[in-house]
Amino acid sequence: MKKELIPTYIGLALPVVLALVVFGYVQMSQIFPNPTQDFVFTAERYDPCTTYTHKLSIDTKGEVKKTINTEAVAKEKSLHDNDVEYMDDPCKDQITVVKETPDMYRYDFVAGQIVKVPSEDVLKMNIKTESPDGYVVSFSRDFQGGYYGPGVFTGYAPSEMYLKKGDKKKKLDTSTFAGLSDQYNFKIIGWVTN
Amino acid sequence: MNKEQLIQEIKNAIQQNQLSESEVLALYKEVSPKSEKGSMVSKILYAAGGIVAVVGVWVLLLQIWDDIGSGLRIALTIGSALIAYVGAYFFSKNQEQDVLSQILFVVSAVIAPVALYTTATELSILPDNAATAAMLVSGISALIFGTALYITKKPLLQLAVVSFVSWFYFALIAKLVEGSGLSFSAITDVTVYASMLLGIAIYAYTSLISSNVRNKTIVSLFIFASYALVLMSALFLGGVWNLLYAFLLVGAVTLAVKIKRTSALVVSSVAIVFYLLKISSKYFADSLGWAVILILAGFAIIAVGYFTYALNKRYILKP
Repeated sequence: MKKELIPTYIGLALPVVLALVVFGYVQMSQIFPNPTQDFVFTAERYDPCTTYTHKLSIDTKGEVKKTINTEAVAKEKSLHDNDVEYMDDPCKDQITVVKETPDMYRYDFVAGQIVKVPSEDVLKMNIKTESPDGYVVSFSRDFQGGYYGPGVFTGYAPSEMYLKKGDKKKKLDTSTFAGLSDQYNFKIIGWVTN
Repeated sequence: MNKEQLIQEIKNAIQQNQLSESEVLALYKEVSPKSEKGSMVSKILYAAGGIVAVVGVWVLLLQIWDDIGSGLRIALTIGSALIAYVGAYFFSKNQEQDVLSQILFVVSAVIAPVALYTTATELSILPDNAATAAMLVSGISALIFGTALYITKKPLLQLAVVSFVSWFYFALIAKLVEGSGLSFSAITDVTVYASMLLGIAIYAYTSLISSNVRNKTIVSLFIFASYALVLMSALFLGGVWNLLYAFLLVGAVTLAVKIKRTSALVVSSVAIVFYLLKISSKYFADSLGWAVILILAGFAIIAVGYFTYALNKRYILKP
């Protein structure tokens, strides 16, 4: 290789070096151990025509309690007892759904996927509202595209579930739960410690 | 004295600085003005014909697109690109049809990505991910036209190959940051650095090929693109780059004068104007007010214009 061509070859290699650095950084930022605890969550889409008669709460010892959702039950009763209010009901022409609690799911880190759990099983769990290992579950929307040119992105990808710890962040596999796409859809109950 | 000896004599004269590039070109124009004029007319006609053909194919496709089936869609798009490509290849063997060959290659290069997208879509093999699809199309196009460049050595193919490789690179960067969880500002910074480094790479590539490329317009265009990518992208960076950019501009202007490229000097001047506006609005808009900033920026732009004119006249245009 001619000595005077070395800067030229370095110039040609620079974009490749950047791509490798970005690849390495992204891969490294996603390498961290999974939590030792699974987390449970609900993911009901907001629907004014669905009433949940019970709600779950977690006490300081981590015990899960199921109590009557008095407000929702009273509203439901009022809608059916009072004709005037019933006329304003947005669900008057629809089938109203009454459920005990929203459907519940567990993120199983051993299997690496979401599994549905009956609310009775959740009642037997010991749950902490915060991860003992310092993990946080969040949603964010990625930017997709960018191939049209520098800084030009075609739009947003659907929001994805991420596991965060400190500066590190990795995407969780939610392929077994097709409905889990938006942040408002997701509410974490807590981390299963038993 | 045969042709080889004559060329060697001219080479020796150039190497010994007895003849400059502008003197050789001026002599060529002086001796054969008619042939130059004639070839210019044919070049313009070929180029205009190429544009009309591409627009024609485009309009035709838009008119009949919904009424034709998958097979015909693939045949029309791939067919157009292939006919232009094969035609360009055969014309490339005849030196007299050099310009026509290059125009046909460009026509093919414009249609080829559309044809590849169409074919992959109709065959349901186009990846769902937009960046992956772009990588596939730009990568295949770069390979096809890179092969043509390797075989025929046509200068305009340099333009097609560099464009496809650049597209592939941006798609690759988009693919890498996509789903990485990086913030928007981090993605913007990565894209800006990618653009700057691509600009440097294009400059390096240009310096590597400039002595072998017959069409000097291509070289000027690459220098222009490399300068624009580096200087315009860096304007999007903040923090320490607000200071570093001034040094970058000094380096860019110095290099433009050294390599004697007006296009590089023009891009540098435009970048100076943008830089002045950026810094003024960022640091002085609150203290001096927008009206004063605009007046000062106006005078600064005039000064940059004169500075560019003077540098160009004194160091670049002077033989």
